[in-house]
Amino acid sequence: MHLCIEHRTRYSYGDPVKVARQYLRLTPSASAVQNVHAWTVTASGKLDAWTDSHGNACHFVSVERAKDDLSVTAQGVVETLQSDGVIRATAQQILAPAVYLRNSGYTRPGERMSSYLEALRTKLPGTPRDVAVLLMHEIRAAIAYQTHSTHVHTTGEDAMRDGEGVCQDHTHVMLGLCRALDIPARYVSGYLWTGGDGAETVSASHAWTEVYIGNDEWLNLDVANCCIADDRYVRLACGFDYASASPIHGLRHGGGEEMMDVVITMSLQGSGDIQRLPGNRTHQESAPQGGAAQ
Amino acid sequence: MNCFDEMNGSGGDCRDAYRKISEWLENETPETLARKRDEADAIFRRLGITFLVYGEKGSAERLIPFDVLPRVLTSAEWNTIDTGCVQRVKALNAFLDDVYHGGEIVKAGKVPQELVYQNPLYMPEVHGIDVPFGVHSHISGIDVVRTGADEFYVLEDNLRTPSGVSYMLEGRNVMMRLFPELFTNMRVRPIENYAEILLSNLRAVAPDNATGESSIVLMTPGRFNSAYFEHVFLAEQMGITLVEGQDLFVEDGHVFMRTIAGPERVDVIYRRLDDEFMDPLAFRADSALGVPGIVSVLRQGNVTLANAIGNGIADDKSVYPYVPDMIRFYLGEEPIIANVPTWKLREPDDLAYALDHLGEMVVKEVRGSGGYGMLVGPTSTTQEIEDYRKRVLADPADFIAQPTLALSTCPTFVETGVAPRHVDLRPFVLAGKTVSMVPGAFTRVALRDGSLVVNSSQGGGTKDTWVLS
Repeated sequence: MHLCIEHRTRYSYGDPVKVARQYLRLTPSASAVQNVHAWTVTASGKLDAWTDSHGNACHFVSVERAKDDLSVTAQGVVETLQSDGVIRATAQQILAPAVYLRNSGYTRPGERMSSYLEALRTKLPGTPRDVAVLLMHEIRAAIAYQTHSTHVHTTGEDAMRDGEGVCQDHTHVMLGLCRALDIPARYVSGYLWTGGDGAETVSASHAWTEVYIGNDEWLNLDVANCCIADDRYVRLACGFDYASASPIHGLRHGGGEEMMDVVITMSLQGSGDIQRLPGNRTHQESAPQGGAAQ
Repeated sequence: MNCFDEMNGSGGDCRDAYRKISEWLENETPETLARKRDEADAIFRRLGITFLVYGEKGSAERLIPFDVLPRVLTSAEWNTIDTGCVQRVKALNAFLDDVYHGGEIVKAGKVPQELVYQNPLYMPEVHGIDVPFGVHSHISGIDVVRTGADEFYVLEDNLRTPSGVSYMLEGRNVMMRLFPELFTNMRVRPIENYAEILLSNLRAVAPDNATGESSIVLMTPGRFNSAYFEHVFLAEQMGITLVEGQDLFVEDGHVFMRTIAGPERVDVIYRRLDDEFMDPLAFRADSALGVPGIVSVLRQGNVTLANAIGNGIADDKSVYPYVPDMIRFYLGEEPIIANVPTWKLREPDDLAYALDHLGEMVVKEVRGSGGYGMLVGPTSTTQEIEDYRKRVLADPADFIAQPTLALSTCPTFVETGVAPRHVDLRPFVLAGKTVSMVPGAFTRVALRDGSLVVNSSQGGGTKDTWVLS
């Protein structure tokens, strides 16, 4: 599929922003699962392209004394390919798979996740691939998909306790459990095309898991939708967790109260089928030293 | 404890290195020495060389006690320390460059994979960055202890932001003012070119694409840092600008310094700020001390940090036991200075042994420093040992154990007169295009009788270290 994507983020502030700095992970890379035909990123400040250690194409944005709102727009065309959901390590992906055994506050199993895993242990099959697929089904059954049930700071352990969450939470639980079983796994952020078959769209951007199945191969598993990622998925960036793969990570001085609007539109190239995904609207207070913008 | 005295050896005859010091001491009265000590204190106070002890009420700045009796090493002894430390720093840099690239030593099974890649001190954000000459640790403080005439051990490596070199340099200046006649009688090798070597190394590691004279700055966390005076001192010695994070910014893939004449590009940053504060967008978001975006510049090869980010993986105490293997693996050489035998309590056999011998051993947290959080078995009470045992059992992998070494002693001027006190040695190894040391070091002395803890934060003092030619 050729998918036209536009991802607009707009920040409005109560006061003028003195300084803002952002890392953007808003540029998809070509791989076995997708080709990128055209892609541009624009922002309110100066942009500088760089590549992080996960192999993500990133930008650094610097804004000095903004008069107006800040905005970041990524747009382009991605051709998703029919595949078995497996991507191979590329030259840009330089971290050893074992590095993806590292947990963070988002993914580290606490009592709930650990005892959940213990209860599953006798059912676990042999290969990392089979283990991961089984975990996907189990986690999806244990944690109901519930829009707005969690927030950006919810950990996998929180979601396990509450029994509900969104794609980000499913992914964090999946990561923590895979890693506890010595299976490297990473967080993927991207987009899911749901326009084709009339399926309902429940999130602006999407998150899923890549599980290391050996021989430089990573299997894409979407716990929230309980499936292997196919050509409806556009891969944007990967990392250890939500924070390290997030599309925009920023800080600022000044600005006061912040309002953030995200609008993502997707359409099939050459067709009139446009999908407008509901945006997020969030409130954040400015921290004294400049809080995180997202 | 029966230990080696650097003046009197194990027997009592004065050793060669100290012959002239011994003769001189015979003619000095305690009153003269006390007067010299007071003079030294006055000079240090005037220079502003103070040390901030963390965790103390009011965090009062205070002077580290300076002992006016020098520690003396012969040329042959120094040769062992010099070649041994240089060898070690070469291997440690090779290790850092390896684990942040292909990880050959892990693939070869010489260092356990999880110890590297799951170590909190391994920084994935800097993986794959090519640094000039493969040097990650440009300034390394290697802590060496001595237990006999020819017995030296490396106790630990400091590859992040090691401090103390200002004591080495200022201690020498003070001694030359107090005792010019000793320097006339004894051929003490000079150390004053330290700043010159450091500056020339920093120039050498400028990014390849830097144009013209490279721009070098020293970055400090600010005046509340315990080693702030040292940052000021070194910047002055090298004639480079002292900056804080707020003086620097990132744009167009480069780091710039704000100056009256407009932004000036910065090529090399000798930074004394810890890794986690360097880039709030990549590490601790709550830090205002660093430079947002600097990781993106590092990844483009447009600035060099000295020391590089992520060096903790090589000086972590859990990785320390593998340094001799690193020397063999990367250099094909045998270590010139040995490691202290170390029990890795993450391993069950080692743990069992250590638990049986806690009263004789020194036990340390793998991520501790400054002499905090360690157990010195022989000088601890039964209760202290039992309390520590509980901590070890709660998470054995967080600890290593070592035999309690009979650290050498040096004559030291204390309340009761001249008496032997335990010492260690921190020489500073400088790496750039080449790896070298000036013939000198920061000697730390445990001023309390019998104490083996030399850390400044725990009542240690310092001495000037003389290497004879």
